[in-house]
Amino acid sequence: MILHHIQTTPSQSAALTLSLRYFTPGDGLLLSGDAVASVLDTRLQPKLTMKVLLLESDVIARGLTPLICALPVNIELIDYPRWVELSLHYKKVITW
Amino acid sequence: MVEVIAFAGNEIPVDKNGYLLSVDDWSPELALVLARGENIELTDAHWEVVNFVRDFYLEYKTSPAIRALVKAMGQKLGDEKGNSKYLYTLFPIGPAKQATKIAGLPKPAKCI
Amino acid sequence: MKKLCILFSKAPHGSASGREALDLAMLSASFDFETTLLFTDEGVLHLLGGQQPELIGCRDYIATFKALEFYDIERLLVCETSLVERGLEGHPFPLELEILSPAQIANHLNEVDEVMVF
Repeated sequence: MILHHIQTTPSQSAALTLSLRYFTPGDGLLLSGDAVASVLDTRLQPKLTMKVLLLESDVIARGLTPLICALPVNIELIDYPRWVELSLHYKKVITW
Repeated sequence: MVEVIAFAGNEIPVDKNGYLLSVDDWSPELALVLARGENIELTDAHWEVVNFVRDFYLEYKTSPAIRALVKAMGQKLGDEKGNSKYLYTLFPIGPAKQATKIAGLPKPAKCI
Repeated sequence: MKKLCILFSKAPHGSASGREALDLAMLSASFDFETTLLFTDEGVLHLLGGQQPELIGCRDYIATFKALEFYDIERLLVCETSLVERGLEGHPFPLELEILSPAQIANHLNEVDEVMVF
């Protein structure tokens, strides 16, 4: 029961690759900052089989809202209060 | 401002706590001066520890903190020397702190 | 006793990341945290023998890994996949290592109280 929190894109760091490598059912995946654009990566999409949480303000700020509705990825947009709630729900948070 | 110790006609730079800035400035003669600053008269038992921490630093590139010093000494020299009571008898203020200073090493992190 | 896993995921010497990870590990262990180190992705490059960081003006913190047993850090874990990706499976490393599969690593990450990624 780990919430994996990623802030960078795969071009910036191995954070997302690594968190997916060690992801187990029951874990959560939260993308914020630059990382929200990772869901656009068509090579990556087949690996995003879990629900992907995106920080809504980071999505809106980057003009990505219209792009993410049609993706073959199960996405949930979250705000800060929900993030706090999730951090408490999971046993621990790993910030990659 | 860099502080210095006058030694053999040279000025040896030290940090604000009196630890040498460069391990290469050290010599056994300088150790006597450093020990005097700690009010310690170096006996063979002291030298054994001073040489031990210096070798530790040269091999591992870190000054041993007290627990590491105790454990490493115990492994190499046996339990009667690898214990903090023995080390405190030799270096009353703090074995890692004082032995590393006399050995010309940087101050260990979180040390006694 | 809290369990802490410190994860080395960046290559050594190019940034301060690995050195900071090691400093934190030694400090945590001295505060009685049960500390494990996990090397993954380019972090596995920390483990290679024969490094001479001083040649490029870097502190040789690699030498300190050999002293970790004295700091009560006994488990050095390595990601098997990261080794394979770099052709390092079966490579003779100078340290005693536990090579773990991604599933075993996931288990370990679940088991500990905190994971710090460097």
